[in-house]
Amino acid sequence: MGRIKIKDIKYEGDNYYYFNDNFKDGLNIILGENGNGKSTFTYLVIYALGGRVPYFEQDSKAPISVIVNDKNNYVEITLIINDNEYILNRKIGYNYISIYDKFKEEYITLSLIRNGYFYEKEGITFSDWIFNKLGINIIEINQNSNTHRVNFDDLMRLIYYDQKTENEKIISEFAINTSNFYKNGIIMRRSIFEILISNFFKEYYDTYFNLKELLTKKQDRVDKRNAIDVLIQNLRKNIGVTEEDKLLEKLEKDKNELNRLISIREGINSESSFEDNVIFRISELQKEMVKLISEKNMLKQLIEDIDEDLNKSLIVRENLKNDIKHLEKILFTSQYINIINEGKCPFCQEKLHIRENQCICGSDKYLEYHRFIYSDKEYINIMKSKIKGLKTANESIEYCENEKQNIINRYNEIEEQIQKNMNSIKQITEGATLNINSAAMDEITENIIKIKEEVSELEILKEKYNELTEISREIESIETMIKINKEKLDELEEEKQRTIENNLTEFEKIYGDYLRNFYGNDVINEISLDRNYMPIIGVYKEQSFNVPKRIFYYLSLLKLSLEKNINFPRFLIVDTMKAEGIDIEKLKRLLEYFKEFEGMECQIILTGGYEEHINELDKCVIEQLNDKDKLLKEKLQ
Amino acid sequence: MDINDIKKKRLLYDKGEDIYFSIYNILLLLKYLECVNEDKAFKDYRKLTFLIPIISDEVINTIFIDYYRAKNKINKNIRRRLSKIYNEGIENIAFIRYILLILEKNNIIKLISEENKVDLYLCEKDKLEKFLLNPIFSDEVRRISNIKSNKYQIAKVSYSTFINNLFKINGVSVWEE
Repeated sequence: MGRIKIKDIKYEGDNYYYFNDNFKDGLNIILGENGNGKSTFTYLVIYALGGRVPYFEQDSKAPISVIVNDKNNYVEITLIINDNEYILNRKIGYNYISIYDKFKEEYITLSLIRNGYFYEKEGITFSDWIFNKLGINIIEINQNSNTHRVNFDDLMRLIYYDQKTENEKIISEFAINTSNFYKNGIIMRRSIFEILISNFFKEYYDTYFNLKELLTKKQDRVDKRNAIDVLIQNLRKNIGVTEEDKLLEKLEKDKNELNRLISIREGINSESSFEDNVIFRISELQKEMVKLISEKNMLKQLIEDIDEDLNKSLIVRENLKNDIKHLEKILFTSQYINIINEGKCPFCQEKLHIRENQCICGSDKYLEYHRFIYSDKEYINIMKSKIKGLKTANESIEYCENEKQNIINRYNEIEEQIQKNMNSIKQITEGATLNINSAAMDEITENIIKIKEEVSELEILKEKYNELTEISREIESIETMIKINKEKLDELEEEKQRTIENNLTEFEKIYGDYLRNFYGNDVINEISLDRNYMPIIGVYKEQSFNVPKRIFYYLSLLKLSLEKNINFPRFLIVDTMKAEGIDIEKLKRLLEYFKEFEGMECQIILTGGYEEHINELDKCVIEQLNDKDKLLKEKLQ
Repeated sequence: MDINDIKKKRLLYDKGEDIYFSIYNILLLLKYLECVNEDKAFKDYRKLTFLIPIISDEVINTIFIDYYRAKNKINKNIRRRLSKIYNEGIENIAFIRYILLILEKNNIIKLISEENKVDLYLCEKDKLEKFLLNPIFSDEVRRISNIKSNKYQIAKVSYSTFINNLFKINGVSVWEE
């Protein structure tokens, strides 16, 4: 899998500069006292790799003033990714990186964030670029109801051992806002670790994105179908045909009626007496009125029914919304106050000793107490099903509202028609007493025009029905594809999990060996990882124990990456291990563990003080700083 | 656990029985009613069982504001609702007791046992500050400020007065004296 290696680093501004090209495979040590710029060295590397360094920002509470006050400054590294050389140049204070590909002799400038000019232009971010070079596909994780993309700077959290994070927490929190629920979330931390200890599952992610594309395609067709549906609804409302099979019948009937009316009109014109026709017309109108009034009453009842349904759905929706809000808070609480831990008694917090098929109380009336304790994943699943429910509720509310509107429209139309018929009867009777046939004549002509319009609408409707059938068939076939892909994804997911589990066992072994070797078998024997992949050590250790606990975690990842094909890029930055009152002897012993990486196909950048340095590692020193010769050199004016 | 068990578990889920649901509501109550030391302790934990629904449900919150101390004339529906809140609350007391023990074990709250009641206060205020100030809880905080009135002294009032003011006075039959 991919490997990152730094060949040289350069900083330059109007006032200061720095350059170092002593980087080698294996261990690279930067020595210096406090305040000489050891940490700044690591910040420059992180910054050039697209990371955020708060101390370089204008509004920082603790700015590194030589850098913040310098002008036209940038940091540049030559980076080797899988034997290809790239020059990465980032101006201080800007969120984009210019890359020069030495082999292809090409320039590209990429944004660090997913908006702005450079992102629009290239369509990818720096993180997407480096993932591509490392052979890691774009990874999405689902948290609550949102989808997030994991970026390169997220993975850096287990590649950069910083000084700011409390060692106890292991995974770096450098430059991460404490209120950032998503970055601080357990799911994010778990994902980072899982990605780093696994290798690239091309087939899995191909299927994942294929599925996503299919879902988008389906949505597009569904939208189209809905548009046709609306059109059909409107046409049906105008014509008054409620079912598809009645359409052809109605079309036939209309055509016949048209012929009949035309012949009646001719009859009126030719005959001298029209009394019979007038009577016929009035009785026709009467029949129609009875029909209309009964339909009107029926519709009124229907509106009331729908209103009841609508109210029920609104209440359901409100409840679901509240439940989702509560679940978000529950999830937030569980991540902040992690009281319920597997393996611990939920009440007394002591370690559990449960035999198989026994309850927590020891009774053999086997009851799975796990049922009463929910994990984050289960909370998320509950939330997901609620969100699904919410969607259904929204759909049914929308459906009810549309249906109601249609019925109201029809209701108004009937009212109008009744009024019209009343007027017609009035006119016809008035005309009859005066023995004038023009009113009946007008009435028939009007009907002829109306029916002619209706016929043309019916033909359009017929056409739309055909379109609807076709698109429904297409949706069906997409759904089948989705189903196949989903099943495949499930299988691949399982396979992915198996690989992760194997690598996890290996990681646990390496990590355990380190700690046992450092402390002795008798002091530490039981080491395991909890569900968030954080180590659990069976015994109490002093505060300074957190240093080996964390550094060995990082070293184990590095070691695993040398043995197995995993995503960890065989690259580690360690910014000073001295912390939490650890004594110098212990530090020196810790340093011994770095020796085995000498000359290996990996790169470690380690900063430290002169005090804990061991002579055997002299040849690995690539920079020595002191109070007179600090990292950034002033330029001669 | 097989897939059916997982589904069953999801169906059985009730937020009223969720530990974290009760935890965040209890902690918010203690923080925003300012029960942060022994002098300002929250009197009688049993009130919590009724206050949790009051601060987590908009409708119940409104009922509390409108009918506590019989501020308005009650009707049949509201009385039925109050009766339901009372019965569910009584059922939940044992559960709240467990949660308080867990929280005390984790050094988050401190319980003070007295002759016939147990008081409590929040003892890790600073450590939880960021958590409790998170805007995710803005609805709860607003509802707490709705019920927070000098006149009522919700944190200080005795359990029997509280039961009397919310239920008995409104004609809900209660089991305890």
